[in-house]
Amino acid sequence: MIPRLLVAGVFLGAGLLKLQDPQAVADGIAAFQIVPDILINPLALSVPFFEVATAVALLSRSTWSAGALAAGGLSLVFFVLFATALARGMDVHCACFGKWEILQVSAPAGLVRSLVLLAASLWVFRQGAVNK
Amino acid sequence: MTGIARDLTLIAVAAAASVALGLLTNRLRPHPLPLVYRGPEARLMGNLPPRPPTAPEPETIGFAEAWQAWTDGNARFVDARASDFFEEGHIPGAVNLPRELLTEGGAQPELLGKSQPLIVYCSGEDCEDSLLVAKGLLALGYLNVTVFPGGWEEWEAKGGAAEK
Repeated sequence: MIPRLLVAGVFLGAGLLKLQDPQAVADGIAAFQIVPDILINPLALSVPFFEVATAVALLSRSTWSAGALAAGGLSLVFFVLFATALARGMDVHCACFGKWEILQVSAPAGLVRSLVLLAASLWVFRQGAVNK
Repeated sequence: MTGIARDLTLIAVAAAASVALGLLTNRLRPHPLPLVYRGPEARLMGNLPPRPPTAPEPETIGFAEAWQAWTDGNARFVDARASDFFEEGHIPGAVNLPRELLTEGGAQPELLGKSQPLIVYCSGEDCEDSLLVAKGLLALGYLNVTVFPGGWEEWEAKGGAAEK
């Protein structure tokens, strides 16, 4: 229960904060220098809604395994982004929580945070599968 | 439908709805994002008059020269950081000109004459806003624009004067 709420809280906060400033999110995505320009703005506009939907799904008894799967997928994408940035010697500060600089972390910290979120999401998904 | 297939279907529906909502709400924003991403420099320059091909690139100066210019009082310092940081402390006499002011409104900064020496700075070596604002000022016709890349961090670390 607690991991599920924590993961939901992180994605709800991240989604709502990103919605306030899509330009900052787009600049954050561009900073990784891996996503083509034509995809950056559509991603910056839609990922926050997907994160909010993920959080809502995690909070609902009938959809939480789908929410956990989506949270795991997003965390895996974030993990790959940070890992490839570090492998290229870049220290990217992501706009994972929009323009809130206090929540912007360096690439190594972002990598660890993504890994923790991935592990928690998979744990929640497994709990959902066991309880079905 | 198996559990995993149902989950994947839900995720696909949520993803499609998110794209639709994202694009729809973007159209309702006062400053919608264009479909194709433009970097900070392209956005800044897009709101300014085109730079003549002969326009010079802004030169850079170190702390010693910046300090000398400040003590001589013949240059105007331009702080390119966000207003929150400017209010926490800045070089005395500096005018705050965040790049958003040039980017979003195409604002004409209220600076001194076009030939007045201007020294633009931001947080420090890692920020690019001083260079962007300097290029923007050159595009607006300011003739004597230099960048102090060490910025506020170096100024503060080396004991430069400050005001709030």
